[in-house]
Amino acid sequence: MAYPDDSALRGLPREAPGEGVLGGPLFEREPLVTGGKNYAQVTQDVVRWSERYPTRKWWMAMGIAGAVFTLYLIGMFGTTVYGTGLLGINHPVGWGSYIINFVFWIGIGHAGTLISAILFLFRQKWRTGINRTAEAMTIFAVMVAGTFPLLHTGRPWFAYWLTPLPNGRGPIWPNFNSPLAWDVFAVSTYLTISLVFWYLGLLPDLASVRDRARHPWRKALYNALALGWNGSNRAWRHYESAYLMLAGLSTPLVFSVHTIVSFDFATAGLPGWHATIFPPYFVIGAIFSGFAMVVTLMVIMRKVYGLESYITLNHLEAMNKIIMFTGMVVGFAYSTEFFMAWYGGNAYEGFIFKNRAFGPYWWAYWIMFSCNAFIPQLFWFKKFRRSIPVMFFVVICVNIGMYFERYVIVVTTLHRDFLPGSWGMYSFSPFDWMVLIGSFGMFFTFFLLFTRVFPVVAISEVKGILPASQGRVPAAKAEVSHG
Amino acid sequence: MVRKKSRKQVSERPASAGADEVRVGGGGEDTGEAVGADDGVKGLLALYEDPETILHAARKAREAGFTRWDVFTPFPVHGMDEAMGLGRSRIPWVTLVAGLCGTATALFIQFGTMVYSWPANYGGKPVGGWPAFVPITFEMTVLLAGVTTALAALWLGGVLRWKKPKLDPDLTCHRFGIYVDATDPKYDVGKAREWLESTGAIEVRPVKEGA
Repeated sequence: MAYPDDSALRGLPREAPGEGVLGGPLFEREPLVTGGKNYAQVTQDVVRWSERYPTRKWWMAMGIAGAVFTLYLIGMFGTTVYGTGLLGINHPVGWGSYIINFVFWIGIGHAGTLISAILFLFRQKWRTGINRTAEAMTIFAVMVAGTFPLLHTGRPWFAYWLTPLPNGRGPIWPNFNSPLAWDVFAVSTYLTISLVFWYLGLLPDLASVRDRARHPWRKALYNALALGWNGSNRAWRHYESAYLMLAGLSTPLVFSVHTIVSFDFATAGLPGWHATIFPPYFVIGAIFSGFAMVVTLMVIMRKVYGLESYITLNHLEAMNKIIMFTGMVVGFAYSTEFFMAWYGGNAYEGFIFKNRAFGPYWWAYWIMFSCNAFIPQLFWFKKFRRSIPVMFFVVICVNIGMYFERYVIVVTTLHRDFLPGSWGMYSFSPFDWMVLIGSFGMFFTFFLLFTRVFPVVAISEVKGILPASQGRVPAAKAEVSHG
Repeated sequence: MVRKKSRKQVSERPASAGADEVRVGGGGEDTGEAVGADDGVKGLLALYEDPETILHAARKAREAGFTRWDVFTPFPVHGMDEAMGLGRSRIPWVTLVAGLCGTATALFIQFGTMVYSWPANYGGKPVGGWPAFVPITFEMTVLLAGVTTALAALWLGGVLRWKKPKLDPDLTCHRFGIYVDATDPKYDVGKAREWLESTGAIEVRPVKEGA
């Protein structure tokens, strides 16, 4: 059975009557890579984009992303030089768009680690097509996220006070009882480990690029980046072991990061935040939003870079299933919060939730609820799970919905707390809009540069899951055409 | 590609006498060959087309008693460690020890600063309440373990050394190679070449000095 492209895939095992061992039907899984690719073609298909001049489309995308990035830089410059008074935050809503953006972006990152680490531990081989890009997405998202709490402090030049540096002022140390101090460690560890994991995965592929390089600058660049990787099995042996160890370390790490982010809220004594459901609710929401972002990027990237053979409809369908599942968990968490607000019998808690859904921010709440809990239900239908326009619509809705989830959590709890005398409203200032929109520019600028410089698909991992490597197809048939 | 370390090990512990297909070329009975150790040839590289063949070839090479040799593949081939007789990597131990160091560092910093150096009353909470120290302890454990693991794997695998003979650019693309070093006690130019070809190699070529 040949699988030239997506049209041959059905997302189900192929039934071959009479081909089984005992004469019954044989069910064979569809290949993870279509088009009958051989090893050399895999390298060629992935690496060629970094070996040619950028296309016009790339320049256009880069131009837009760069322009939007400038907005972010102006916004950040303003809040650094003139202070956070430029933003919409004021009494009583003292946590505004910077915290919302922080939680949003760091949540996006979680899908990358889930794909690279957890799916690796579960031996989900389809991860090989998407893990490189998803990990890159994680790193850029965490980089974007990390700038927000820094700027939110108002005096980012004192950020080093968050680290326990020996000092002559007492000495005065950071308060390690505080979730904000935990956050510093969680986010910086997350960024470091994600980078290490990503780079480790990149090494063999960078060596492939290096060995194909002709131009002296390219040779020098990739020679430096690929270290001394030469594919020796004595290196692979330790490499594979380290990869497994890192996957094992990243798995609890990814849960811990958003758990600690949720502690920023949950350890406060405010109704709507002070809830034990927060850690799992944040983690699952992060995975949900992250997968939505992965699908958003993949749908575009596979088309633009001609990677449909590696990121097939089956890959997208698998991710859509995860989106639907996590979406239902998120919806369940929203409902549980409501139930507990009623069942707990606490008047303030009860008020906050009524206010969330039917107060002045009802629109944010219902955008959140419908985008996250209702719209992904479309994925119950296989036809929709495998339709590019439908899935693109759904994942964009999820991206929006998950932004509003953080908006709802941050704003609705703060704007009306215990005393009606201290109630107030919150709205974005132009600077809030600039950094929000600009943060996407920053993310996409990095992402577009990544697609130019690095192999966007894990070449060595994809080679390992080709039928030829699995001993299913006689090797000679699947082997290289010199070209 | 043979690392210095293994070279030393080899000289300390001579290769056990294996099968006799490949014999040490003592006495120079094969001097008629075009290539020899004197011509600056560092070893022989055999290229293969698929992982199955090289896996069998590697197993045979180990059985033949080669000690200074290596396998090069564009992706990790299952069962190659066993075929080469390499055993399990000790990386997990590195992870464990580094992780414990991270745990200890985090506990030292947190208890040291908040209990011993300057105990402070934060919201009436007990000084040195350990549950509050769990998140940072966990993060530091993962941080140290992860970074050390990656560095250790690269160092042990010889990836951190740039200078290496360039064998063949296709080895990171679609070819699989076995390299036998000329200093291998079992190495004999003519016979090693013949022997490598018999394992299904599509090409066997000498690797020269300075390549």
